[in-house]
Amino acid sequence: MLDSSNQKYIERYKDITPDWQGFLDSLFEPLPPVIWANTFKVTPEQLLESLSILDSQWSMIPWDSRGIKLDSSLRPGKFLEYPMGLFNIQEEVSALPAKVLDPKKDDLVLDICAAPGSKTVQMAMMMENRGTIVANDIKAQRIKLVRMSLARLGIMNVSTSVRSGAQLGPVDTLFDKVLVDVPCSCEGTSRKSSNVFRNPQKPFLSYRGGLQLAILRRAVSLCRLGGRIVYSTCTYRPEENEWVVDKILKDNNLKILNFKVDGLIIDPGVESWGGETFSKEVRKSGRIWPHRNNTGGFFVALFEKI
Amino acid sequence: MKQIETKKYLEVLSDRYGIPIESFDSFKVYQPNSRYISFCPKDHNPPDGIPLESTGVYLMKTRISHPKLTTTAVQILGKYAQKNIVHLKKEQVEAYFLRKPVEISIEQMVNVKGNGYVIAKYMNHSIGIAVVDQEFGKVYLKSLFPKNWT
Repeated sequence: MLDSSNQKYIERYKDITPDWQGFLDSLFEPLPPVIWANTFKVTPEQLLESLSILDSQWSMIPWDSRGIKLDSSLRPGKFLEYPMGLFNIQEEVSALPAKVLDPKKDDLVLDICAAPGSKTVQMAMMMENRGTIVANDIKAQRIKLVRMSLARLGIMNVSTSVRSGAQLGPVDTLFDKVLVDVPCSCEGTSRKSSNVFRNPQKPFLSYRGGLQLAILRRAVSLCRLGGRIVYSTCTYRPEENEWVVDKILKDNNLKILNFKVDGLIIDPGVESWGGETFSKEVRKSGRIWPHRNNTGGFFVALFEKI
Repeated sequence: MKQIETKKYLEVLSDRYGIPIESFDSFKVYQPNSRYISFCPKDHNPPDGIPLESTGVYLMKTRISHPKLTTTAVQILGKYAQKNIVHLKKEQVEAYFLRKPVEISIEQMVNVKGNGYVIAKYMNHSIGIAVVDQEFGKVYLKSLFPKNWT
């Protein structure tokens, strides 16, 4: 729950949040677990039949046919189908960036901050386990987590690397698609870890998205002309979201694209924050508030390199 | 990653499990280190310029007296296997995942041609590797399921 100091901190979002009370009420509500069928091994229908759970205990994710939302009482890691590699566990909204990037099996794809790997796995499935994903992370221990998921699910179209995202490359062949899901202050995960607001992560509070901008700039340099880049965070802070988008647009080698996902309520990016006015184009980015879709919080922006 | 001549390893798989060598036509096989070989799709081509820590998944552990398919490889290739397969019941699968010995019946041994590695299956899914063992007139599977997958 929020104490008085964090309540004061949270108030900073009051003017940019639709249905403020609904937002406050949602912040610490438990998230329903979501599983995603491993379509190399089963269809979602076959998976449901195998799980033998009551009809009242599941529903399909409206915007992705692989996703199944489960009753909060269920523990999907305990199902036999989990070590069998028939599904992956991934919070619903964290599947949005890869959905928006939409990698195809002929694409050369980079996941520049890949760990723990659920988005890498998701993209591999979208690419039908073909073609090439390079999954990178700065920490070797965290890339180990990516490799464990890939092994359990039988995903073969991924090579891994351990580098700072801000210093990756250069490469001889530029990527068609780049996912830039940067480290952030994780405020949107409060429904999973209630300590997020109790202990705001000071490094991210102090430098206003500098590291995130550096990683995004590096990603742009590794992307081909006409290629696509998705920038995403799981925080509400405009300093790590719209501020970064505004700055990268001023580099004049990207255009930001509109996107929509049927079945998901996505609010536009904010146009100003902390006395700073951003480019109107920033409104094309998307905010996912936890109370609007019964999910965690996220921010996504889709770009094309020009 | 160094691509390697695969024939000797594929022959091991063909001899033991009846996996046709043609099953590998859509893969590339690499030797990332002295203990394992790994494989990936033929159209997997990461660009030069990023030092890679891994490519694809491990196929076989090779630096042992009898090269062994990895659990990941079993889950990918098991559908092509024709022999040395044991179909498990639900309660046996639970024990298998916990790496406990699994007693199996004579009927479950019908597709097993002698001692050694077998592919464990459940509900038509290939789930991993085990070793057949016999003690006090009973037949057991010794589970080789990875500890950190459950």
